[in-house]
Amino acid sequence: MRTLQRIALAAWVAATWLSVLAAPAQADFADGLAAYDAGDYSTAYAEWRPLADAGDSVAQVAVAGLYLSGQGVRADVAEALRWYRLAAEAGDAVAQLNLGDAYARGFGVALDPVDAYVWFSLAAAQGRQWPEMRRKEIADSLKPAQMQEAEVRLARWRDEH
Amino acid sequence: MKVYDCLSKGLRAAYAKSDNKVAVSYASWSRYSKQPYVSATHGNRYVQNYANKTGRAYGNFEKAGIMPKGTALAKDSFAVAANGKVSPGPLFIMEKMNAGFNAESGDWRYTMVMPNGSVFGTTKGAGDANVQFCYACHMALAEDTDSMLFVPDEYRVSR
Repeated sequence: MRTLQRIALAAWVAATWLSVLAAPAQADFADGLAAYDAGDYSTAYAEWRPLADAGDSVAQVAVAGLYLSGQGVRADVAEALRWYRLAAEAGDAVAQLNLGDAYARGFGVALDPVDAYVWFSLAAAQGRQWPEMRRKEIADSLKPAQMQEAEVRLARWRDEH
Repeated sequence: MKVYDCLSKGLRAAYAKSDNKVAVSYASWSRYSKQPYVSATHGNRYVQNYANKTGRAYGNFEKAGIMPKGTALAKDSFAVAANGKVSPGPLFIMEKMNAGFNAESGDWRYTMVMPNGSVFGTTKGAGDANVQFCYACHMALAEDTDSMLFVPDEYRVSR
């Protein structure tokens, strides 16, 4: 099939998906992802935001990503981190590792290696390799008092969750 | 290319958060696009195409035939806004599985890795429903090329 025909067919498939999305319906994560893939970030946000508001941590992570990139919404790092925090506190490993990364880099928050260590540790405890690597890096730079503080916070987390 | 080399480092670092095996290795595979090009089927993002060794027949493009089990194709992406702001996009992955894995996807496993490390779906795995639109499109557009969509002629690298 020639390139132009493929593009026309792609446009038809995309239009079909988008017409489905345009129909009034309950928010749907998959519809949001299809819209995101198609570059329709406003629709992605419209699909994901109600789910995020309802406490769906996967949707909260997705909404955080839109606020970070400024796609479908005005870029807002603080709002992105608020969504990451909500999901992280609900136990979402991706939110935890991204929040840890923000503290490790001082991105949108004050640089805080103790907070970074805590969030990386929580994500790593769910079997994630990337935050485990970052956790080890940070551990090497923590002073004994900071490590003690981190361990206290982690123990408190385990008690509360 | 220097711009992409710079962006590529950030993309790889972003996808690595996912722990996905393809996401941490794809950049060392053969690349079949000379430079980033606009993909109409992925939201007009700029993309580049990679294939692993098992999938080297991808370089034959329309003559590639049916790809063997173990083939992995990856497409990294980024978006450029009207104001020039560049944002990392998803990593799109297709992996050829055993015959009978999933007839609806042509036995390909589709995975979408987001730039914050989220994996929002993988065929026959977590979030399966979230990536059904991927193979719905690929199966419709590329039924004669084993679901594969290829690099535009002018951007192809022949190997």
